[in-house]
Amino acid sequence: MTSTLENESKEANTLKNGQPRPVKVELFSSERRRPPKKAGMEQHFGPTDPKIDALKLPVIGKPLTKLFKSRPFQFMMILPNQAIFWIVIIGGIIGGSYAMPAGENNFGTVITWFIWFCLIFIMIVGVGRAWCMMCPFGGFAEWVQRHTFWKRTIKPITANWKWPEKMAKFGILPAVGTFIFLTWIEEFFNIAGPGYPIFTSLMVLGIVATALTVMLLFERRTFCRYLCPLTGLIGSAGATGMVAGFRTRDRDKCLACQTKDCMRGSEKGYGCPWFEWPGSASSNLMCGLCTECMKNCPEDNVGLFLQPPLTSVIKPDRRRTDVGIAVVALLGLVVFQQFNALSPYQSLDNWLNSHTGFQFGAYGYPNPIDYLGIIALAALVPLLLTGIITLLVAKKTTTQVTETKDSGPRVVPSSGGVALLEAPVAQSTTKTVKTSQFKTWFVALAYGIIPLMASDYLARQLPKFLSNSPRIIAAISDPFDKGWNLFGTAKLHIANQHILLGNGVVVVQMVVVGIGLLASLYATNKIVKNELVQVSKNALATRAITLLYVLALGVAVGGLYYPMHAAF
Amino acid sequence: MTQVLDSKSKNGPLSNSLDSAHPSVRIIKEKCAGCQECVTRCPVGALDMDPHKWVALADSSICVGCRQCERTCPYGAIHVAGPMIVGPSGPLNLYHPKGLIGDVTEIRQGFTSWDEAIAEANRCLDCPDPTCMLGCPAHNAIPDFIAAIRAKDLNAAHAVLEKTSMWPDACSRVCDWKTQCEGSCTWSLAGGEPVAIGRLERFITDQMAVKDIEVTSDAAKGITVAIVGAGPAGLSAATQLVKAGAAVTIYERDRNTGGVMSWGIPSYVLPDQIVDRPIESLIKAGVTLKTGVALGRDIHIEDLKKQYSAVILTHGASTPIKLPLPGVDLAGVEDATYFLTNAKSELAKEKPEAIYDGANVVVLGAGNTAMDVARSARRLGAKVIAIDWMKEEFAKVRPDEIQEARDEGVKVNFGNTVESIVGQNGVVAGVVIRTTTQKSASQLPRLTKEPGTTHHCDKVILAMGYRVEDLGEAKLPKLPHPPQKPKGPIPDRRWIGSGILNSPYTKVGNLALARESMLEDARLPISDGIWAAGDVLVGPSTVVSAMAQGREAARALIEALSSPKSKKK
Ligand SMILES: Cc1cc2nc3c(=O)[nH]c(=O)nc-3n(C[C@H](O)[C@H](O)[C@H](O)COP(=O)(O)OP(=O)(O)OC[C@H]3O[C@@H](n4cnc5c(N)ncnc54)[C@H](O)[C@@H]3O)c2cc1C
Ligand code: SF4
Ligand code: SF4
Ligand code: SF4
Ligand code: SF4
Repeated sequence: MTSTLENESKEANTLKNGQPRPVKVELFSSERRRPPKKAGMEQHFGPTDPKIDALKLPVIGKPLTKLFKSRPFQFMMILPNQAIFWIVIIGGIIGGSYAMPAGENNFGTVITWFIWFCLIFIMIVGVGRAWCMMCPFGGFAEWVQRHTFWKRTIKPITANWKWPEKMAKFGILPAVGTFIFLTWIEEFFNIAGPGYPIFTSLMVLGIVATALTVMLLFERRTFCRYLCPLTGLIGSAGATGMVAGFRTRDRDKCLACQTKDCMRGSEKGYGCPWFEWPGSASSNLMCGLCTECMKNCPEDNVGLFLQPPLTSVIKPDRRRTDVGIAVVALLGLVVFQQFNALSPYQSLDNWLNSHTGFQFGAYGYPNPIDYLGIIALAALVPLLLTGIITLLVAKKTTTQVTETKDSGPRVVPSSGGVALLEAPVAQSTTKTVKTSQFKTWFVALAYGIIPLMASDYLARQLPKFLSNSPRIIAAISDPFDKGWNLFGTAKLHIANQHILLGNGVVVVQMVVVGIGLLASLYATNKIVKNELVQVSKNALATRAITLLYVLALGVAVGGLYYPMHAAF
Repeated sequence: MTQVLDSKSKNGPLSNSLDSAHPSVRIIKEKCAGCQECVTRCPVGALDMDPHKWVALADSSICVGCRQCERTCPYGAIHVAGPMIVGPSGPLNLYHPKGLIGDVTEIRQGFTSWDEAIAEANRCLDCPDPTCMLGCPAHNAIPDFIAAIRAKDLNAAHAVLEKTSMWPDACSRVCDWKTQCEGSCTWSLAGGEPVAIGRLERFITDQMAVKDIEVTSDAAKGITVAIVGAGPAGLSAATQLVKAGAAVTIYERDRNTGGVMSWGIPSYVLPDQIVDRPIESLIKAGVTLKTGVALGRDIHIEDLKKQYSAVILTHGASTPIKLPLPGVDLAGVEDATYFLTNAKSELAKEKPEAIYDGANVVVLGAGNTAMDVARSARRLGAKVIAIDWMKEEFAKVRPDEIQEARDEGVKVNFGNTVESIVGQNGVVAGVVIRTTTQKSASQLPRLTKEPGTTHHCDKVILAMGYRVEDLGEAKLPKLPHPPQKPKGPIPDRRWIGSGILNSPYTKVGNLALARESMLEDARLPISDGIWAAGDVLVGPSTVVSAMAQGREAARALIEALSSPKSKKK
């Protein structure tokens, strides 16, 4: 294999006087690095591997490739969002924020809560991490970290800490924690109500500041992978999406690759900021679609792959427990947000507040006890139900557990065929123990309800979007509530129109959840067939009871929209 | 007996007990991207992939604790704790001269038996991605010749060395292994005691002489090349060219060949017959040697260009650096070249005399040159103090060499400098010594407020280093242009991947990378048809670097002149 530096730029290959640059010492002989021939490799890259490479499609393939390979691409995607969110921040601070408690005409609140939050969900469900590609929060912090807008710089401004091993074990769960925390803040200050625009602007500033701080301390996009409030939701709900992410076309090339420029970076781009390897990615969970790997690959071996919807739900090669827990926790959170629109909740919250003294002037909702309590209770439901399902239909299994103990001298083989030295011998005893199947069942079934969870979030945002999104027409002409009329649209009647109101909204909400439910039923059925039937006592019973469980869950969360009366 | 090395305390056996813990390998599954970089590098096969989750899996009971996996993982997803499982390195076998005067027996004797050599060879892990090879400036295929030693196959071992090195019998004596191959051995990078690569290489050449040069291709047939300077760079370039069928003429200013190795490096480090071996073999292979001919005086570049298809400049850096000290022109102040040349010819006599008996000699510097001066002076009867203005911990010196010199009675005083040389009747009578302080390696030392003390002496030798001679050949691009940093904004990812740059214990990887860019420089012609290599190109460096650069310049030359494009022209 030739080196990347050689293949690099043309000018580096010829010298000042036009002579060809001599070849390098043949030092990195590939025979020495024994390429592993491992069982499981075929299967690993087999069935789920998406087949459609968007960059090889006729007509659009070539221009897309060119676009993605250009360094300013991501900057261009971030720029508009960046502009919008700085207007949001400034608008909240200098706009008529205090005079107009309900910032219903403030550009910042309108765009954030009536439009953005809803659109982001549609994007997640359809594409996956498309938002991450254009995210102004991480984007801004990354500009600072790289001290450039799009160029390849070498020394990042960061303490380059590694995310601690103990935290990494929890995967995206800390991020789910920050989401639950942020949602509480948002509810407490009634930010998305929408309330005072200044709160919206402070919240956005807070996110930017946190992202920046974390980026300056930790390597790459540690913030985006482990801490961003949205990452858990985008990652798990995005599994329904049709974009599989950037992956490699020919796996054999990757196995022979001596440089792994996609991970380590090259002159052309940064190493994957998201800690992914396009050569093994088997779900779209963590690909931030930043295009760096395809810029780097010396073999032009990275494509943008499309997959049928729900692929990453039904068969990622690597199911993650943290994602499973995240799904039920996030479901708990949205159920709380449904619940809080019901009158019994008001009484409960008031009652709790008066007994716990949690009231600060006008602010006292939501009491952290009921907030966390309801989330936990709602999350417990799928947890318990999958527990019961496991008890009822999972096959009891046993595994061989090997315990090793050192005793006596041992021989470490060296490749020269000679004993290296003597060292302790590990003597093993094998026992048979019963193993719990719960984790397997829980995680698999939690993936199954991802579409339902995602549709529930979308439905919850719909009232604001359907009734108030046209206000953006007025808001763009007077972004700071100053009585301006920049584009002549400030007084347009249409801005006060609603797309839908009342029962109409409820119907749409139920349809959305209904679609989510159907998708969940479909996905669960597939998952059960692929993974659970084999470890169950009875195939038919398993399929019936799991589908019944998803159906019940779907009807319950969907049904809640009826008494909610399209509440904001 | 097995010893277990603790990774934290820099080498040195931690305990001899067998029941101290195994290394333990932990993989952060969440972070593991499944790239197998670690799996392909683990020398003992302790790593594998989980076929279902496609993350790395470790079997700690096989692991020997070398930490290559940790150093290679792009995402820091794998951690190794616990001891390194490797025995202690074999004996140094140093010769301690008793009488010293006139004793030119080799100090470093190397392994003396097959048993010693094979025991050491067995410490080598035969790494799939051997970092030692990156550390060796010539890129010798180290694990391959070590494997040949294990197989007791000297022919195979020589065949491995021959591919990259024309002077293994010299390199394995004069190289500073700790900053090269051995410093880059995976055990070193993990903070342990490396495989004694230098002593193993030497063992091969001790057991069987290096073979004569054979013409193995006709890639350079019809090409005529003039090489200026017969030091390691020049001789190595000549070897490479002769092997490919070129007609080579070497122009050398001195009567002897070998450059610094002939007049400078003393015979108790490098015996004379090793210095002379390559030129004999080159002449046998048909090379024309013209001694006593100096570039700039007897011959000129323009003429050489007309006469030959190409020219390689390898005339070294031979102008001693002279300090502008008061008293530097007094009689009794000498430069190292002059002193070493005289000392070497005296020591080469059958019965050398103590020509400096009882004299007080002050040597300025504590580097390679200074220690050679000091130790030669000791062998000729002098009392020697070497003075270096750097702090010992920051000075770029070979600790083993300093220790050997001290053992031979040389006083080496770091953190001191000479302010002036005092004379009487135009002859040296003493030096005024001041103390210095230095806070970090990157900072230059500063004089302290302490007043100077006068030290009586009869001779002062300046051994601070060399620079390239200005030959007044105005048309050449300015030489040397030592590349300070590796080329390109990011080092070759194969280097990063090998883990040599990621050791928490040593910066040897950065040194190796800088040498790599010098090699690359040697491949580039400095102007049309003219190449340069060795000290003349990069400033004072080392024998092996000069040799490797000579080889690469020759390879580049052959490639450029035999390509179809240039033939048409
Ligand atoms: C005292 C001393 C000790 C050293 N010890 C070590 C050591 O232990 N280990 C190590 O690795 N390195 C050591 N070095 C450094 C090492 O010797 C040099 O880096 C190496 O020899 C450089 O090789 P070269 O071929 O580039 O130049 P040189 O070895 O200097 O060879 C240059 C040759 O060109 C000839 N020449 C010069 N000018 C002209 C001219 N105008 N025309 C024709 N011919 C000319 C010279 O006579 C000489 O033969 C030492 C250096 C010195 C001075
Ligand atoms: S570098 Fe590639 S795999 Fe990594 S986040 Fe960007 S696009 Fe995805
Ligand atoms: S090198 Fe790191 S990321 Fe790659 S397989 Fe090994 S542990 Fe995983
Ligand atoms: S420390 Fe060395 S021997 Fe142990 S698993 Fe890592 S690479 Fe293999
Ligand atoms: S000498 Fe060291 S680095 Fe080289 S192959 Fe042997 S153990 Fe590995």
